[in-house]
Amino acid sequence: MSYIDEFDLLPRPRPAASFEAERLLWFLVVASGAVLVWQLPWPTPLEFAGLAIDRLSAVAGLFVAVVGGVVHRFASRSMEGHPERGRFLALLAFSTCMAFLVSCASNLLLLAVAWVLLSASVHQLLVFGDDTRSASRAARRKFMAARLGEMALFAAIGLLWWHGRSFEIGACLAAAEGMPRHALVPIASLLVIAAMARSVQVPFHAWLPDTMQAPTPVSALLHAGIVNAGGILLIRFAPIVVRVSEACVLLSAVGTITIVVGALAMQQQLRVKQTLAWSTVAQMGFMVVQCAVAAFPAALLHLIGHGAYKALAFLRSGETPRRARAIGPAWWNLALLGAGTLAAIACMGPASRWTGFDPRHAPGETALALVVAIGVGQAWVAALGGCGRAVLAIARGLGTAIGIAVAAPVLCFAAYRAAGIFLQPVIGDLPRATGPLMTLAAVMPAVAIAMLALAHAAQPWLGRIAVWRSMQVQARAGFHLGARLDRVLDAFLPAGPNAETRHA
Amino acid sequence: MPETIDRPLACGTEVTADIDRVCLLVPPLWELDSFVAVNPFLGFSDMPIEAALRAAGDALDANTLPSMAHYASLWRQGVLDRAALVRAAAACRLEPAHLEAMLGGTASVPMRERGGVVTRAEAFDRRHGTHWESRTRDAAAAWCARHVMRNEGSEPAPGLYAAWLEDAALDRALEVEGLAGLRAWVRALPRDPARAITDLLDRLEITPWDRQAYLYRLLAGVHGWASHVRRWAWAKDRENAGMVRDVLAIRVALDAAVVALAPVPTRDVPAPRLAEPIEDERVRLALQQSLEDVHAHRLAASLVGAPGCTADRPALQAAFCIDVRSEVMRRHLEACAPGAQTIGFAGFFGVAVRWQGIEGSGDRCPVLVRPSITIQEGRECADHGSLLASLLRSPGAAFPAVETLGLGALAALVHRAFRFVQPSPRHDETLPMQGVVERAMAPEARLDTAASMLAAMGMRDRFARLVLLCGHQGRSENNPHAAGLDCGACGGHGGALNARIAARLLNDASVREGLASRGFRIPADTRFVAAIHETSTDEVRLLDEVEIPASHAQDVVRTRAWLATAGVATRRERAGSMGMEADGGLAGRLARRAGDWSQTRPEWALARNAFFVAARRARTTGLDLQGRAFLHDYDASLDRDLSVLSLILSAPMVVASWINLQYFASTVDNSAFGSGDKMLHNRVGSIGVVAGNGHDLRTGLPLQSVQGPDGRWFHEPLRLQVFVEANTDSIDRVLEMQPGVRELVQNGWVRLFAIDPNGTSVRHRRAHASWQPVVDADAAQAHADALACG
Repeated sequence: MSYIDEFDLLPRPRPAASFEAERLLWFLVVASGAVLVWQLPWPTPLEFAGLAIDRLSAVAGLFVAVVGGVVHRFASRSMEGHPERGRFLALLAFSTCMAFLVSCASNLLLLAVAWVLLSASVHQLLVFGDDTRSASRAARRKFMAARLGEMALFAAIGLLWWHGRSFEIGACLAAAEGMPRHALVPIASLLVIAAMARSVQVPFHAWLPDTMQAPTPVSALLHAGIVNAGGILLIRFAPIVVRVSEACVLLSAVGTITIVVGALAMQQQLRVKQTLAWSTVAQMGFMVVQCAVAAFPAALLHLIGHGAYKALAFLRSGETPRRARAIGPAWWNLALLGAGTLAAIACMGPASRWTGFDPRHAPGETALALVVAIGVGQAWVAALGGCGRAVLAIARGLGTAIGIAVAAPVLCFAAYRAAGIFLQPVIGDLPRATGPLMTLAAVMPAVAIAMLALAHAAQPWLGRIAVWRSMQVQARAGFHLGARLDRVLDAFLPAGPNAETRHA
Repeated sequence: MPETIDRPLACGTEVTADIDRVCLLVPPLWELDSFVAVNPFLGFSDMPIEAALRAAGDALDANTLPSMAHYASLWRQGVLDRAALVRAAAACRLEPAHLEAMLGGTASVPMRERGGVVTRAEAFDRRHGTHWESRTRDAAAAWCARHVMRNEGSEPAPGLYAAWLEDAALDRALEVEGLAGLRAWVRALPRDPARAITDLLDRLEITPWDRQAYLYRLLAGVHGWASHVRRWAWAKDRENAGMVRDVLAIRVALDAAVVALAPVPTRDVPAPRLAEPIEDERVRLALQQSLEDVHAHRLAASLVGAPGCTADRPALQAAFCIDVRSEVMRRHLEACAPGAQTIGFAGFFGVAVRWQGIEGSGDRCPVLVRPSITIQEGRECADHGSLLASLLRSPGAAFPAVETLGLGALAALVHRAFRFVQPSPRHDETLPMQGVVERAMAPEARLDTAASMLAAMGMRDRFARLVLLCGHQGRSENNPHAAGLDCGACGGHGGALNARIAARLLNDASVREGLASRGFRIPADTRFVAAIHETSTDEVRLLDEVEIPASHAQDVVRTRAWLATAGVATRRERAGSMGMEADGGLAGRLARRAGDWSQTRPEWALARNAFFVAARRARTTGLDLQGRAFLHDYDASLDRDLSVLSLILSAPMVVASWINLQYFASTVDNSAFGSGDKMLHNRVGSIGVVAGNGHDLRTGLPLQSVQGPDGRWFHEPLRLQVFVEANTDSIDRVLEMQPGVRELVQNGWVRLFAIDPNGTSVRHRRAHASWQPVVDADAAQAHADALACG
């Protein structure tokens, strides 16, 4: 099997199927919405026909189905009359259903099948009507990431079955309670690797920014509903992951690198879709880090929030957006960043009391709170950095800045707390994630994000330094990680004769 | 000169002259907010069309004419009749039977090898199966994008090439791909672009004979960005290559770098890829010409005869833009409003404004015209940009921002999927205008502008009580090329502003007095009213209605009713082409279509354009031109010194031919001259779009603007058939005065026909300035009898 014609065995559906397909997606929306409404007052996780019926599957399934439905609707109108429209829409619907199954499956075999079919159908979507060279190089990188992830998932499932003698997630999690550490370490590590491969962590990220030969709706679905399936997997297996600190450190380290690479590369992109793609890489890095520091409710919040924002951003990428604000000199930005961060930290005491979210509960929560504070600092830079000397503008900026410093901690803490309460019946009361390794897992991303924020604020000054400029130049191509990976792949997975020019 | 036909790009002698010549072949390309049509063959207009199409096609690996299959299907459908076939056969010196066999598929079509020169990287690729050409192209294009985006929206800083030298000395991207030592190699290059090109041409041993073709081939690889750069040089001096030279220098440098640094692969060499031969242009051009004859002669037959009669005082006068979309609306308005007269004029109404508004600035006039008036709306408030956009770009804030605002995004997502964007009037239509014009223009300037506007429209003493000045604009959502649906004569903006300014000028009491002294007899009860024709929904709205005096209330009510009726008929006529049922509720469905963020075809804009008619409206009244004709009013009897005709042929006609050739090329080869599938468009700031993962800016029209969803051409590629109602002598004199227009006609970029003002004949201007009648006298007489009114 070659990555060039990966799974061409998928059925070719009839063109007329599109309307039913959209109805199916809206049916999924209604069904998972109903489950959510039911589970809110009576949060009893159930397993039925290989599907988990609980709050996690309800909210994740609802989200995937909504995004899939909107994307399907968008595509069905923008491709009206296109001869391949039926096939395209069916593929979109099929991918959505597979992502839905990945979110909802409680049976490991069903999960594995949905996981593989999700890769396959996404691949079909990515090569839809596309015959360029770069898609094909990207296809090989994606092939590598997908197969490695699948292997890791299969191995993890095998080990779970070996130890728990069951393919039901609930039973496996229950069996894991009593499992010795040496049995848990490989399972958790394999799950983490599978999640990293799905959620475009370095070095499995290199294909994502080169997928723009696919129509816009494909990107919307991919970035909103598919790459975050890795996060769902981690949340589902949270009780196992959180008990293996080594896996958490690995996850956190990879996530941190992904944040840094994604954020630096994203700043250098000029094409809107590439900007969005590198932003996804960074955001997925953060989501994975949240899982690594055992902040699973926050991760769920993040993957839904990011998905919604990214789907919207892709679908409306034709509009010329309003520009980002001008920023001032470096010293002024740094002062604002510091002041805003401190102001936010000062507001966190009351915010913590009101919302019941305790940033000192564990290192992970502390790191999360710190990122919120840094975010407030950056909001201060944006609000006050370039407002000039006009009194009215300064007053308005100041009002915005203070409002954000007060509101952001309250809002974020309330959201984290609510997500925690929401998810508690599904993942149970996790042990407090402390200890040196968990502290390390929390410190790495916090330091990295703080450094990124400092560099971003000091950009007007750093931009004059040769080393920094050189770094920025390399960041454009994501530090050439993709090209270097290609050189490696050339050695043992040679490209076909047509791979560079044709891809079908 | 057979050599120049085979190799039109090979006759230079001096290096710098060759460089400039090649750079000037690149047409300008405007940004998205003023996306106006440009003739993609602009740089070639001084060459005969056949040679130019070959040269451009070979350099861009493009098709520049429809394929033989297209003509064969027209032959099968009977659009090309036997007479046309015989004409075409004569034109390409073939036996008619032989040509017929070719169209029937029984004889082979003559093919020719792609001429021209390939770049050194291409030659290397062909030998070794590598991909250096595309990689160096991408690298050069990506750098142009970076340099342009540094000053996004204003002129790029000079020194594109010098800045590249510094950047390329740092960038490892191509080294990672295999060009080891590139950074050091770049450091040794000359700092001056022209010097660098000259040196490298020597180093690469390019012969003077190949020089122009080689350089143009290189430039073709970054055609989009070169065009954008050219746009800034073009604004200052049309004969100045500007920074296109810098772009070329980067391409030459990278091409030479491949020769110097690319490792020769050790693995098996695939069979050399050769350019595929293409169907000979000579036969296709002959067929194209005779196809155009079929269309032109049919129109000519209905243009001869005595013009219709005109009422003394029209019930309504409405001036529309020459845009082909106005033709449908005008026809229906005249049909439903007895005694109404419509006028065709460039939609900026002669008001060449440089507008500096609160919501953005721009030139509101054709790009061929320099703005003569600068109008400032008021104090420009500095745009602080969006806080949210800043946060989402900040590493740190972006993470909590999506967590807290994500639910809002989800709501917006669902909302936009189910609710269409409701129309709201543009800022241009509603912004307060009191005193704006008066402050910006001296009384003398106001009078001059008004007088030249009326003279050019041929309005001297016949004025209705209400005279509409009707601009036009499109409406679409989520569409980077939205400006392409707007008025090209207003520089890719809506026409509301120009129409409002024009109406204000003509209603101004002091201007009216001045006009009277210059011989314009405007009745005191004549009122000029601005209006806007929204082409996506075919609604016409009156603007500044509050300023219309109560005495005209009756006229306004009546006019509005007529416009509504005409709108219904126009929408019905258009529905079929949009794949919509022409029944009730069409207006609502079209409005939803225009407000739909997923719609790739909000309207067909200027597709199917083919004719330009400069004549009295009486000649074309009642004629169904199917929205394919640019109609400009011209009355030769009011134009003794030919100044109006000269203006029409050198400005609106040229703009129409730019539009026409843009549609032609975008249809025939959308991958080379168009901007491709809208679903793959990837915006670069506010500058333009690239396709998918590509780096080069795309020029021309999206695929969805020229093709139906089933992949069939909606636009029919026909050159512009220009009909002018004037004596052949007058036209010849104007061509004598306007060398640019003469070039277009002489070289076959447009085809020129003269309608005799007495209606006795229509003549086609052949090469060597001979005029050949295309409609014989009997047919003319028969037609005149039929049309004569009592």
